[in-house]
Amino acid sequence: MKLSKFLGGVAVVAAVLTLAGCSGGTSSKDSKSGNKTEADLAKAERVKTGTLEVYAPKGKNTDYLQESLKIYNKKYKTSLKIKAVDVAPNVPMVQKITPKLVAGEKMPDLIFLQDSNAGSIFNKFEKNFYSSEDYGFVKKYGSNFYSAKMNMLANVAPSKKTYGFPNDWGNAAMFYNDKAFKSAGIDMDDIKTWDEFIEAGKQLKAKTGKNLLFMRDTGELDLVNYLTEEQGLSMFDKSGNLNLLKPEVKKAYQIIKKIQDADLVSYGNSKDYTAIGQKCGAIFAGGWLASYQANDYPDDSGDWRIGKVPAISESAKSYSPMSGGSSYYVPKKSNNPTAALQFISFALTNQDCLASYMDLSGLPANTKAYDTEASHKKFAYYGDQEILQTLNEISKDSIEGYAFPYTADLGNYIEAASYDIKKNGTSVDKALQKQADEFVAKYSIKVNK
Amino acid sequence: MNKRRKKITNFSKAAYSMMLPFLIFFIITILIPTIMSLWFSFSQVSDSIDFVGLSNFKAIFKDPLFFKSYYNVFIFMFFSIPITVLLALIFAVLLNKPTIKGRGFFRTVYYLPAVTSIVAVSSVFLTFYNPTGLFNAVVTAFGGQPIPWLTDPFWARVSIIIISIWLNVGYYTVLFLAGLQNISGEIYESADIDGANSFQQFFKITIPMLKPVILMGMILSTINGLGAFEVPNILFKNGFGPESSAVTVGVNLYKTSFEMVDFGKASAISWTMVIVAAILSVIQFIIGGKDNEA
Repeated sequence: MKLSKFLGGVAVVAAVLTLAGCSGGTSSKDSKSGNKTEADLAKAERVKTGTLEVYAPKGKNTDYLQESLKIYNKKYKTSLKIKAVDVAPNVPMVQKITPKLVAGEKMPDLIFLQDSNAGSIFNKFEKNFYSSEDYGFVKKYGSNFYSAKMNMLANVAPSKKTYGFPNDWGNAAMFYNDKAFKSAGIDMDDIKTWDEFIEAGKQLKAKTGKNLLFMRDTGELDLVNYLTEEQGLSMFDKSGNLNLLKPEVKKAYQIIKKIQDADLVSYGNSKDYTAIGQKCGAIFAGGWLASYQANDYPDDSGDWRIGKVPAISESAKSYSPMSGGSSYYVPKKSNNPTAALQFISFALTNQDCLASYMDLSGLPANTKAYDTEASHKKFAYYGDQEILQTLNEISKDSIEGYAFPYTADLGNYIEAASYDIKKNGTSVDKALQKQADEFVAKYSIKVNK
Repeated sequence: MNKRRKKITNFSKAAYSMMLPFLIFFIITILIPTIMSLWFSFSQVSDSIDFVGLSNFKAIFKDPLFFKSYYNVFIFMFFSIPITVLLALIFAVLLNKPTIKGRGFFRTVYYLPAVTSIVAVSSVFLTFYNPTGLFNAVVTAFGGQPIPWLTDPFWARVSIIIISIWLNVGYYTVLFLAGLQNISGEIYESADIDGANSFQQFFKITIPMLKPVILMGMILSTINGLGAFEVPNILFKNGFGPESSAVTVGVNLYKTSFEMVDFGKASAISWTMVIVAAILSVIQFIIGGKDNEA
């Protein structure tokens, strides 16, 4: 009997300790590593030694950090080290860090997070991170970065305070097979609007048999976003309300229908986006595609070019649609937050570091990077085009958008609307209304008309 | 008398000591997470954990996708469970026959899908479901039209059901085979003497004797079906499928946890799963009959 009481006691104590550990974790954060303000840390002496634990995808981003650290250590006579843990910057990163945030566990010194996933983290765990704004980074360097990027970061947290240290940024561009278009007698430099692009597509198909572009067979998503954003409308307003029923979205569907009716589309699974797109006349994607295209399809070297997405009309201003980017964040409950803040501020603003990032095919959000020699590199795959400069020009016209916790989920609803329109013949108004109703019911937000 | 009591006490101590490691493991990995999940379902989990009453449940009940995910899961289970059980029964009965040669080999082969990674299986099926993949090659070879496996809501559901059956048949075959081997051969001999044919023996002896195992198999399938996640998530980039025809409660739960980072709502969804699984299990017990309590 005594033993059974003992076992019962073990159960109760274990439960109480675990539960207390959980609730205690949240309160102890402020009392330990979170007790210094950003202003205090900004004044702190440079940290000379230590190891920074970084959660980031292994590859160009970790290579860039290592390269930057060499420059940093040399300049400041420090001997910092980086221990990189390979984590993809989107959902896997969220998966990796949220249990730590909930349990109040020790965090890495730096995390690399995609902007579109930051909203959901900061909506719940804002107090667990150091603010780049309060640290003085935004005031000192903010104007050097794309305004669209800084606007995005400024609106990630509910308090509208900036937390992210802006790393990269990309807008959607048109990757087109110049050789194919030329063989169909089309000079793509003359194509300015979607109407002209569709006509060029008809000619391309007639002469070469190639379709103009890829669309998802489960309902188009990317083009709806791109065409809407080109008109200066983000899918959400600054307050987080939905713009899905706005005329700009309906206009986007009109253009998509024109392309579909002209039979210029190669449909497929979104996983085969680039593979199918490579056989088409054009692919609409962020600058990231450049590094993949050259590796995956080396036989097409010299055939492709990069340009701005065609405009809806020649008269109205055309914005560059967002593709996305990532930023670094410094958690409060980490071993070396001061060193992390000092190092990342340096890496994202030092010209040599930025040049090394571009050498690794990165697209820095810091516009000063495009003043460096590295930004004028010619890419043989794109007929010796200076694509970093091209992409920089495109990003200067970027639309300003926002990342709310539910931003990524809207894609599922747009896809469903597109499917309803294409496969079931539902009117655009009705299909969008249905999806908007379901979305606002789920997230308790308003829909703008 | 005292000697006997001492003996029992010593035995109890030994039993409890042997239970202790499991008990600690159970408390840490199952009991505490379960209690925390229940606590979270009534809380907003953020920088702090704040009690919010029933608001997480109210929020998920307002979401049409929540009901759609249950609708999809019920469709999957309605078709996949009976087919899986039926096929597994047939295979088990065949493999139980001493006259079948290479029974060990077949048992291993049928059981293989149960120990193969669901991710790997789904990826292979993904290539089969491709518009120009194996399945459409077979269909067109017989003069049929290519099937839009992954781009039509009806066929998207069929695609998931096929994989689910393929993955589970082997496991339930082995389960039923174990049950069959517990049925005494004397019962069949008596039936033979009484003139019962094979069909009569199957329906009057095999099925009734296997009822508890079949019931357990169906309950396990129901629980697994509610939590299904990997297959829809691999077949469809976002786990939704055309017109959300593939989204399951498990997919919705995952997205609420790790895309929305809303552990309160996610816990509420998981508790609805517990309640639904319990209700379905009770219904299965009732339909299965009182004799299944054994």
